[in-house]
Amino acid sequence: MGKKQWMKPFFAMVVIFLLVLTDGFGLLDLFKGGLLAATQPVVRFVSAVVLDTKNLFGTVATVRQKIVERNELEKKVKTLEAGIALLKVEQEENVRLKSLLSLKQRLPYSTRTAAVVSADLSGGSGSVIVDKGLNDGVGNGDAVIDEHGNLLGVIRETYVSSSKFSLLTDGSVKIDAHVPGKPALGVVTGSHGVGLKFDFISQETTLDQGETVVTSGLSGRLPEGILIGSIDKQQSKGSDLFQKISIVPAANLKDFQYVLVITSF
Amino acid sequence: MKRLSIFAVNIVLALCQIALVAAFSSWSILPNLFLIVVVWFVLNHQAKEGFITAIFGGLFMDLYSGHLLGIGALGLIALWFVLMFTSSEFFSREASLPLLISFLVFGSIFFQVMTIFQINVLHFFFNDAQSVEINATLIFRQALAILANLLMLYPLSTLLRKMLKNGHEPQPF
Repeated sequence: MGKKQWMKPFFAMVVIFLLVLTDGFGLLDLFKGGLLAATQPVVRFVSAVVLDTKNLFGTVATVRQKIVERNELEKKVKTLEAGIALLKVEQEENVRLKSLLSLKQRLPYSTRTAAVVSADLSGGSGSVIVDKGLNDGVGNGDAVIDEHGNLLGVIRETYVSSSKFSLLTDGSVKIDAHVPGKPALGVVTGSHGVGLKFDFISQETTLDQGETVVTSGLSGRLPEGILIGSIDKQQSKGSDLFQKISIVPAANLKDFQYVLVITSF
Repeated sequence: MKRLSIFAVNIVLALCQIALVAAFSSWSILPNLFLIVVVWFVLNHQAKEGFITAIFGGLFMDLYSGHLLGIGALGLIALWFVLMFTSSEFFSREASLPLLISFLVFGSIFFQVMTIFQINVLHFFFNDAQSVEINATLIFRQALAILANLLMLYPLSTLLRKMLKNGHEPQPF
């Protein structure tokens, strides 16, 4: 570079130095304000674009983190749901056991609490297997009642540590029964696994719908007074020798997990 | 190099500097892109482009820095003079990366010292001018700023080479 070529930059430097001094005296405020006003839209636009992009990346990262958190929470929720389901089952079991215990203490009979092992509740055989058997004092013909004291069925087969009972609705079950307060003795039998019949009742006896039917205890195999069900409909004709009446079972024959077996009375 | 090219380079640099400030607003240390480009231009024998960038970049940074208008520009012009004198000793057609790094470190320190010196001198003349206290924190921050400049050197060099592909010939001032 020659001396002349250095002049231009040097002159520019002097001008800039004068600019600094001028600004120091506050004479460039208007000029600076104008420059800022002119360039600010671009600066704002670029800043906004950069910030939006930055926020977008931040949002994407946050969304990804939230997705991971949601998946973890979903897993936890599923685990908790399973736990809650288990607790509900245990709660139901607890309520039933408490009810059974309460009933057991109130009943004047000797009973054994038994848990249902398996059941054919489809109506085919109407048999239920429970976890108490000969070792627990359970014998054939013993009455099986639910937690409310309603008759469920009668023990049919006994094994060492389990036994099988037939539900009331099973066709093979026959129970001596009567209507309290009325001279209505008869036999309750299962009706093809779907209902109950109250048979062999004298035609002279008048029975109304809703009246309760209980065990009579005449056979000596079941205690007297266990609730079987309530009168539903008259099924016999006037010319029949005996009345035949359908009964609505008092026990819920589809939903029970624990039962009481009356071993002696 | 055509005037349009150097104008475009300066506009792009200004936009990039704005973007850097917006993206890393929480950081107190940012690279000075104009300083890097002035060094790059001088070492690649683009003296005129380096000088224009020093004036434009310096004034642009001053406008948004809060300092007196021209302080940054003066610092960059002074750096330009120093580099012009010293780089002639290392003349080659294209500056190598180690040479660029060395001069950038030197240029960054020189520019920072110049800026602090100017601000402190002006403090005596103008009451409203800020003064800068030199302490360990300031030195540490300036060291980080040099590091930030170094980090931006390679991407900026690549960008400049691409932008000035057709006009990258050594030219006299």
